[in-house]
Amino acid sequence: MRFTPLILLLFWIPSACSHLPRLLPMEPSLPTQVQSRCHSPYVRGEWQLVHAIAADLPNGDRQTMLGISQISSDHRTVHCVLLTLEGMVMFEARFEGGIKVLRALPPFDTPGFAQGLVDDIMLMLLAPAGDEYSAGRGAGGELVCRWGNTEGFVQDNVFFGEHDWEIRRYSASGQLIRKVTRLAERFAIAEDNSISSGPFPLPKVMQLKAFGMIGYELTLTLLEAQPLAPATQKIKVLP
Amino acid sequence: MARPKIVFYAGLLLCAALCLGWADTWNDIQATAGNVNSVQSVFVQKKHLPILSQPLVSTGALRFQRPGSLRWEYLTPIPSVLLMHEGRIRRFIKADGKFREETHAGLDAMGVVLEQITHWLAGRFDEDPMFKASLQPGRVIVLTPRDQALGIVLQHIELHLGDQPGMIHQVLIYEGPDAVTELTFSHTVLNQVLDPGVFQQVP
Repeated sequence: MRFTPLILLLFWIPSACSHLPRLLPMEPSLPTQVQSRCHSPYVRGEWQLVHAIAADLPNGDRQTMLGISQISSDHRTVHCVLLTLEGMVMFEARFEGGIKVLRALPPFDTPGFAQGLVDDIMLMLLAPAGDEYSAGRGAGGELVCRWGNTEGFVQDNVFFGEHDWEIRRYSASGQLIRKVTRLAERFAIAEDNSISSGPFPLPKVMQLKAFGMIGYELTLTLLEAQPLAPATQKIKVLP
Repeated sequence: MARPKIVFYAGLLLCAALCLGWADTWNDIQATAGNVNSVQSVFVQKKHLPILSQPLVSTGALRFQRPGSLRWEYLTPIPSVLLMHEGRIRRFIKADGKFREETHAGLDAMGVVLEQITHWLAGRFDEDPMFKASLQPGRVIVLTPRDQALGIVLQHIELHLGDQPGMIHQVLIYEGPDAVTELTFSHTVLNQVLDPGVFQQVP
């Protein structure tokens, strides 16, 4: 029992020392281009996305699946399906304020999986809720847009140069718990070979890293993107 | 004049015998499948789900060698190879231009599925301990899970046998009434000698 305080200290010290990266303040009025930049990693409206998802799991397993996501940026809703390459649906759920699991086969039926998956999808594909955020410069001069939420989590969207970005989520104690990185140039072309209006915001490849005792990595390769409302042509992502 | 009539009717009967009979009974199917030692085919897989306005399409190829070697290869959208040989199952996914092996626990479950496929390719539909088989008109075999737990995962499977003896033209896997995986096979070649290396190595 006398060792318990020491053990607790060993866990407490790292968290106590964690702190959010300091932001150098920007001018009080946010320039319009900064506002649009802060939201640039995300699509707006209603979309159906198909990704190949390569998962590196904590036990060393590696697994590739297909993921279908229907998202609405305005309503902040998600309908997601995970399938094997052979087409078997392993998991399906809807999030509309609360989570409704429609199908969950082992090992995707473990407690907490559904919430964790929806949280990860929203982190990668939907802008943080709320209009209030701050913007500033990181230590290297990068643009940082920072959101907080009622649960104490903090999200930084960090922009390097003209195209590269990272999304970082911190726990209430300031520990980095999630990082999403844009890995590959986005290049999307419509079915009729015409370029869709404006650059497609989602990257062709992005990676999510989850930190902590149960860490994992997901590498998402975008295969298809289809706007749902209004229904227009599908965007096919070139290999 | 009598001889040409006899020849004509004999030919008609012969055609009738060839057109009928290869898949009318389990015995016919197994007898025909017993002559199949290897299968090569390409396939198009379409996944139909209520969430999808258009099916998710994949393409691939399969190679099978009796008694139980299988190469199940996807070419699009994600190049991958699933190998089953001498009881061992391995999956490889192409990433960054190279194939790398996947090591997840779900491969054991895949082994069960692949074993079913090798049974079907060998014509052993009605001996399956996992599925109850019924032979329907039109050369359709319907497989229904015997176990309730499997019934939660799969509603039923339809195997549509081809015109050519020993061939499966289409497989429909129903997870629910609106959730269907549709596999259509074409360019099927039977009994070609296959290099055993195709069941052990990826390109």
